[in-house]
Amino acid sequence: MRIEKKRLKCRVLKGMFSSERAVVVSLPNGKTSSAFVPSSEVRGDLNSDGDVCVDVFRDRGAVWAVLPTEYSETVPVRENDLVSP
Amino acid sequence: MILSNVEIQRALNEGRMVIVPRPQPEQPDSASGNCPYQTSSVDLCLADEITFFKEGLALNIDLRLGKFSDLFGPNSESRRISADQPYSLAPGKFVLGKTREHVSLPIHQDGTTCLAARVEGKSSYARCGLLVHFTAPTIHSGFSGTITLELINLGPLPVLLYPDAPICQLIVEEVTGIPFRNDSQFQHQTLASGQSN
Repeated sequence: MRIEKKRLKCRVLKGMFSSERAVVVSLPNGKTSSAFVPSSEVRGDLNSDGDVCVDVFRDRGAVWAVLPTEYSETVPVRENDLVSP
Repeated sequence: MILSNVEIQRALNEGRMVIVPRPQPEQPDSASGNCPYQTSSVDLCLADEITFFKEGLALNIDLRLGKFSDLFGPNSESRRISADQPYSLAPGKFVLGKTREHVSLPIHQDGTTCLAARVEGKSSYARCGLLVHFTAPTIHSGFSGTITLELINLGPLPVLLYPDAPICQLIVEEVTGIPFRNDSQFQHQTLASGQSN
């Protein structure tokens, strides 16, 4: 399976630790998902739109992004929310 | 099978487990007797930041919502700790800390035995009433990062939290077979409902 490095559009919020950010990403069903990620993986100011580095793979017509969280949480995403690194 | 201290050091040498900075010394120090490698575990230390929920929040945590990162981040505050300014954890209080060490348990596809681990407290701290990790002790194969510690003081007296204190221990076990990654799990699920808020 082909894995691509991409950046995923997100909302950037303060994390609990100074070395992390909370990011909110949009899901294809219109809902959102949030996760804590290292601040080094995030571009964008706090409380504004930015993007986060993800690994992307495609399966049966769906696009999935592996977030850089402690446990590599994986979320379905929209193609339009992905930007090249 | 739980790894002995000798096997933990072998796993570190072989790259089956990575701990940065690597715990030292590897043998008991002749002067102090200190050694982070216990018989069947390795000690990890507290990093220099403590985070906790702001006081007086008018919030209910709704478990139906699932993900909480965007709620917890903005509603928390953190504090640097040092040898001169430790954090005094009052009885009944709950804060988060993390390990100073970055731990990686890589998944190998070549048949190399993967490792998983459990983070546990230290008996000396437990006697003070300090819990350092609860309900989710497992560090899965494929994990990479610092380990978040849930610190709660169940004892009658404040506990001073200093950076670099050997606050928890990692018990390392072999995983039979080659695990598939989390991302593979999601390929076989329908979209999204369990992960959204």
